[in-house]
Amino acid sequence: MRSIRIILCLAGKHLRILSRMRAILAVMLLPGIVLYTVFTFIFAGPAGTVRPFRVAVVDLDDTPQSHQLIDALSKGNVVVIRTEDETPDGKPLTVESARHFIRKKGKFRVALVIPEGYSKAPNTLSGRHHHGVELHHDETQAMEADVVAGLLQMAAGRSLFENIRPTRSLPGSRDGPTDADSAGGQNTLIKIHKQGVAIDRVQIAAKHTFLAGIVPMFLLFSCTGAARGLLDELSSGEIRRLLAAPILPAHILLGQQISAVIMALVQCYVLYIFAWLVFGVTIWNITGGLFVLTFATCLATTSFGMLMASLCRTGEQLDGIGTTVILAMSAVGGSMVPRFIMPPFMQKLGLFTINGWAYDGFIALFRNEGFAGIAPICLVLVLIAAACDIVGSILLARRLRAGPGN
Amino acid sequence: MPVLNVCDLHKSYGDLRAVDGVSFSIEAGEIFGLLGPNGAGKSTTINIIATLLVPDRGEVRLDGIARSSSAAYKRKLGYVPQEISLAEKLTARENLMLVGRLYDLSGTALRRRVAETLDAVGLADRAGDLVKTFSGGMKRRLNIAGSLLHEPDLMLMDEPTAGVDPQARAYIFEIVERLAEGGRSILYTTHYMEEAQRLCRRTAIIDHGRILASGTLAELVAGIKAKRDLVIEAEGLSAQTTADLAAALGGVPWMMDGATAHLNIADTDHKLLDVVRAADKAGIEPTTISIHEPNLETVFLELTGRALRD
Repeated sequence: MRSIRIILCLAGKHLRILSRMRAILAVMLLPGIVLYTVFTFIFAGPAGTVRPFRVAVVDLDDTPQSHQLIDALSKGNVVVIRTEDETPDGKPLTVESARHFIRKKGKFRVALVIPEGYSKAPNTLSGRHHHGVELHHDETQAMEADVVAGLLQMAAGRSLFENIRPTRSLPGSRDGPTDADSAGGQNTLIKIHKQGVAIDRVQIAAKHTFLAGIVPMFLLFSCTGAARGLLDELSSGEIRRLLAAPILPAHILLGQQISAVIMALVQCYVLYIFAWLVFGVTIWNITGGLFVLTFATCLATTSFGMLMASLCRTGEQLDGIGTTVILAMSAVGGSMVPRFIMPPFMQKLGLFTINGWAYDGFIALFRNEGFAGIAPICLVLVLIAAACDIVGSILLARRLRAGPGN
Repeated sequence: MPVLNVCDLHKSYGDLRAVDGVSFSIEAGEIFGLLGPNGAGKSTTINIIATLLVPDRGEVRLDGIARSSSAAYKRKLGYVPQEISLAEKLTARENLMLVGRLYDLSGTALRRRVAETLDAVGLADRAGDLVKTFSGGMKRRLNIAGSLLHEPDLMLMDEPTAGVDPQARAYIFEIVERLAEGGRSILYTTHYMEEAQRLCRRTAIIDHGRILASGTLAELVAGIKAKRDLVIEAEGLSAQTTADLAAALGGVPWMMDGATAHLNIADTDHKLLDVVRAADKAGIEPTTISIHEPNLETVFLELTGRALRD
């Protein structure tokens, strides 16, 4: 009980000091808003979207021709093909399960169904009746379906050129396809039947994606400011003086951290309200989850800041090392480039960063996955915070025991 | 029974022995001085007593309680650090309220103690002002106030007058003297001989982590060979000519202070005429020659062969 009183007393001191630094407060709030606005506009504009091309493939034909089309589609690393669901058993996808994944989970937004008999007339130049393929897609993501359709045409072209016979005409020639192409245009190689899938989840637009990315990065940068405050107090001897009183280094660290968490929460909510007012990000239907996740993220980022302060000797060191580490974590963790468009290895690497976990949490929240969706993520963030705090306290105590100037 | 008992304290940083077998004790209501140049081990000793540093070995007992991080031990201590360790963006009152809460003071008792302490250091009329608006001397006084709030038995004052003007220094002396008159024990470190001589009943001279001598001024002076401080001022006085003069007087300890030479002489050994002859022989044309009673500087010079400021 006494410890809590001491920690709150020290936190109150920092908040009081911060409240007297109005100019700095304004500066603390601006970077997040500016970063978020710039990123969202650069990549999508207020209502735009940035999508991965994860394509579920249901190959009902299962012939060399259908395999060839799938291989061609996957060339160039633009499309990631999935033919099995993502359960531990890895069951082959069916049309129903692919549509289910589009509708419920958001794992795929596009599913390619190659119907039985496709190999008999794989393209419009086959000279026989060409049935084409089906493209099931998230109906809110017509643009992504169009992109995949375009890629399919290119894939079909690659397949054709690999098997081309000298007598066969090229697309657009007078001997071209006779079937109309539902994907639009006459000069297409493969007929694509698009089918929209009504989704149960909330649309994840760029404005959500970048909010999920910017929040942890912004908090990490902001928390280096609190860490710098701790370093300043160390070098001014203020902390040594406090430690002559009956308190522990952990009290000082946690006192500083609580004030930093409160400031971070304020910064986040200013950013959320800005995102709601300017970009229409929906936050009012997820208030509980948003607070829990934001609090967990603030805890993790401030603890990380305190750990950095315990590790660095000077403010200059903190600036240099802190900036490098935060930029690296932000890049890997999805703060600069959305995690879902990263290769799988980088996505896994992102889970070693605070940004990565926070990003996944916010995305889960915006997909209306509720507390169940964010609970494990919040737990990980709290564990990261605890680990950083414990290591930070030990380092700080060791450093203080080593004497002044250390 | 002494309030503080320090016995055979050792602390090294790598190969550097910062504190090397320091022992002393302080009685109730006594101002005890640790006098030595920068890097002598004064602050390390104080930091060990304040539990901010862990000694390699040795024992510290405060009112019979062994040195530890326990609240019982720390509540008996008031620590005035060498640095001005105040939150500049808080007011004087807010700074003290914070410190008071760390010592479990609260409510009316805390407010009363803060008011009393601010009054004791002459800052009652500036209680509501931000510390950043204070002069160096006022900050030093508030620094002292922070260690007084919980009414400790022993105050550790680590060079509390560092960097302040003579007027502010005199004010701090008054505060320290009043505290001692009130029955508080004080361990006072300084590298200013005048401060130790004015404030401290007993002084320990420390250098290279060792206590070279300790006692009252009379006891310290009685323990050295030199009985007089011979001060010579001359134009073009150099270290070489002073060394020559010291050699001519039988190799007495000496030091330079600007254009002034200080030589420790035993009054029975040399008459003034001998000094004038020796100066002439060393090529020195003195403008003034004076002989003073020995002081702590004389003691330090004889014990270490160098001046406190070296």
